[in-house]
Amino acid sequence: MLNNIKEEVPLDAISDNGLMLKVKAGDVDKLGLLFERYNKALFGFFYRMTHNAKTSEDLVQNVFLRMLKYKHTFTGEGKFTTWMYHLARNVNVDHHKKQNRMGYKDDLGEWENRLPDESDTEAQMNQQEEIQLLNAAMAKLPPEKKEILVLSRYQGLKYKEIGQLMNCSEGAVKVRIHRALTDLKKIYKKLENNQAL
Amino acid sequence: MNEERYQILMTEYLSGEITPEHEAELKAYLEQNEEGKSELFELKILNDQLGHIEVPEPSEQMSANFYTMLEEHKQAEQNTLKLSTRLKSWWDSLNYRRLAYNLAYGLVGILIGGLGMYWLQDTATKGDKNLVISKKNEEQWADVKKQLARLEAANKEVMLTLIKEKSASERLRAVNLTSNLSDVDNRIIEALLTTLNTDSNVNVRLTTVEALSQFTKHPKVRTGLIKAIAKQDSPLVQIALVDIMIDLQEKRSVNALKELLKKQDLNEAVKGKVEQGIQVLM
Repeated sequence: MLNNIKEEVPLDAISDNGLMLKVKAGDVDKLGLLFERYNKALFGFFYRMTHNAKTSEDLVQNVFLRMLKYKHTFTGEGKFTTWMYHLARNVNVDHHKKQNRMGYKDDLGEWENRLPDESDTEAQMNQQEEIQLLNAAMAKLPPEKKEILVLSRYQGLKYKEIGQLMNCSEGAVKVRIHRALTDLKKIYKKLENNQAL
Repeated sequence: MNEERYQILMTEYLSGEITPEHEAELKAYLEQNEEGKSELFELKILNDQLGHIEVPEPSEQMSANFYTMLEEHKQAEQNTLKLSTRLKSWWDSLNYRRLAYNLAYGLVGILIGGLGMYWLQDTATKGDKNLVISKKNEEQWADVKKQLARLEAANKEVMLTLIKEKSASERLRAVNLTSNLSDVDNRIIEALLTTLNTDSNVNVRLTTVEALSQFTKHPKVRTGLIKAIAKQDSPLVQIALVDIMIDLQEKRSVNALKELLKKQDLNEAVKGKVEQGIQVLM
């Protein structure tokens, strides 16, 4: 009777942890459901970190590959998303290391090129300009500061989860977010002043 | 308010997750701090602007790539599984227990041969006073001793595995393996005593008494044998135990033997043997 009830539970209702534990037990098809749930969030994380859509798609793929490779390390005790972002952060760090080895200077130039030039009309210099300026400022922000802003502001992680990921207290997370935001403001102001010159 | 406290409250305020108490605390602080007020204003604008940054949709290729990767992974896992199943059935067909047992005996043979060779060589060179050769012989001897120690350790492991087997003949082999050991450790003693007291087969128990009689220099073996007297119901094992007590002149066993005499269903032959034993030991 109980088994029948269990079987009737729609797949969508199975928790992330339940799905990942099934993957761990060998039912790797269930990873597809986790992909459907989180591919956009992960893409957003990488896109905000790298500003490159193609790279971000590859990095999302790497995260799911690592889920298969390290499925034995998933215990189901914490939140699945905390484990997922733990893998994502490592993928991101490895990507940056690889880029540094190859002599790339991040994708900063891409954003700087997109800054509006003097020929732009005044109308175009409103919100769109501000967003582009902010994107450029984000690109200039050191990776660890950018990461904490992305995780808290865009990925919707709780301070506690970020603390678990970064191995620090909730209070320390809040302090770091404030410092990252203050630094972003300084970079933004600097870019704004350069543009005004 | 210290700087960190201020930063914590600011972050809470900007994210909209501030409690009324914290908000009141921040407000009270900012009322006396103009710089903080303007920072709050600027950061609020920046924070709101961050919300306007959009991220493009990932392409459909990302999804296609993921499912291709998943299929490839499944395929690779299936291939690995097939290989491991084949290896397992091959291993099972080897009857590994018999193999381990034969291997242990094979090694004993080789080492005995090696030792024989060594002694022959040693005898032949006895008259030779050459120090170099003598040193070489010492090294060889140390080497042989090392090999023997390794073999003995392997033998112990085989014994401890076999003694848990369901088949009585395998357990009998395990007990017999102890005759190759120069000495026994606690694990072996405990395994033998457990077998003596709990094994369902009389032959195994009887052989275990014999095996233990080789190691009576260990106090644990002596005590174990005395305690076993009360636990045995087979006349053969009881007689074997009394014999050992007499051989060892183990006076501590008298009480146990007297208790045994009180048993209602005690075999007459055993009764005579026990009485004789008590007389000798008293």
